[in-house]
Amino acid sequence: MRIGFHSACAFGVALFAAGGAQAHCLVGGRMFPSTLAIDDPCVNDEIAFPALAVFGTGDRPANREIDVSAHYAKRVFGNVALMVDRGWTRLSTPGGARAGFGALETGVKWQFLTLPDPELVMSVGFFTEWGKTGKLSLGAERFNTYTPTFFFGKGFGDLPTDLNFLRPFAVTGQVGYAIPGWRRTVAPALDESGALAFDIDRHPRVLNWGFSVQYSMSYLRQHVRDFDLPTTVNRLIPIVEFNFKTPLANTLTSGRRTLGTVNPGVVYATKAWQFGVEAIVPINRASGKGVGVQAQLHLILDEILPPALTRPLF
Amino acid sequence: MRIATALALALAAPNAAFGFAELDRAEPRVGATVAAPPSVLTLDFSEDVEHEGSSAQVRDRGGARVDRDMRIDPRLHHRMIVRLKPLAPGEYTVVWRARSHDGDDTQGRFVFTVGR
Repeated sequence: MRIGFHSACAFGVALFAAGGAQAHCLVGGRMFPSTLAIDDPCVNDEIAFPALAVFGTGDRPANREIDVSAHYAKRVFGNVALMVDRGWTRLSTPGGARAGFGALETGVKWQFLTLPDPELVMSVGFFTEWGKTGKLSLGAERFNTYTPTFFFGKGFGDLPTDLNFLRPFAVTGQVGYAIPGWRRTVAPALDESGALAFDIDRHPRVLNWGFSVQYSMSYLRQHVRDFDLPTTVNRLIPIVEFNFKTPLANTLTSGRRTLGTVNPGVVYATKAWQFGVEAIVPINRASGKGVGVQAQLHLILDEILPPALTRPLF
Repeated sequence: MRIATALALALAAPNAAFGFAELDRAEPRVGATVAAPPSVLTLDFSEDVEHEGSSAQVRDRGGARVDRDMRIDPRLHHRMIVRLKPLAPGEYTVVWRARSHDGDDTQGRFVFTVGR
């Protein structure tokens, strides 16, 4: 069966435009906030800038790293967004400091399921970290890395009212599989005897996985019990994020050890902007040294800019 | 500097006409126990709400409806007014849906109790 190009385009538009996502990550009575360590499960018109992180790296001896990054997402359909990320890093080592931009990352994300009553949302995305766009001495690569990713969010507002004080809880999560465009990098080197040899660095395929557990004070006030607390308190969302990387394939050089951090913190969420701050606690020495900190200002453009500038392109 | 100023102004004056409706306050209060049975439930939202797409129901512990009707206050468009049947002591569940002017739908469920 042959399908014409225009018919295929029309089908595609209908598929993605159907059930358009709301301006916020709003699912029933639940607003999932923008998270810092992992991505939230929705698509929006949004900017996260600045996002800051300061932490000790997993190197021996540990280096001090400062990251400043920006994220922009624009909906092309109601529930499909294109996004771009770029970061700048300053790395302080015993031999001195160096700084530069990291690799450019772009992606497309489709929020394909939104169920208000069970407060359930799911998305899939495909992200590309572009090679030769960042400073190699700061960890950027010469090759592209492709990461298909699944996202979910689930609020517990559908629990019975006998469990009322558990209803403000929600979890979000993501699972991605990072596939480097190159399997290995071979570089000439001298061995111990001074003879010419080759260093072979194998680039593993990595499972990027993480989740958050969050408790919304706004949800508590609106759906469980109004304690008449100050507005500032009612806008807080205490949160713990867990962010891990597990090499799964081509691991001869990297090993299979899981690296990651646990990030307890809080998000202050209004309709137009959110500010989050979290500690960065490495799960093992290879993941980092000491406790770092990360913070992010997140702007929900639908609430700030005129509608003409924030409506989906199609 | 100009960008920072524009950003600050945008944050200070978000586009109020294009927000989703949050439940600001209910009377009886969310989760409260009241001594006297109310004849009316009021729900105040953060934004004006549309009648079409908005609703509120009140049910007793057995699931029977105890609301008579719902209307949007003609003067305060962010307020839903729900007339109630005579309430016996017990627990009541309010289920509401609110559609703001920009079409964003929100919903919620809470309990209040009429004391003995």
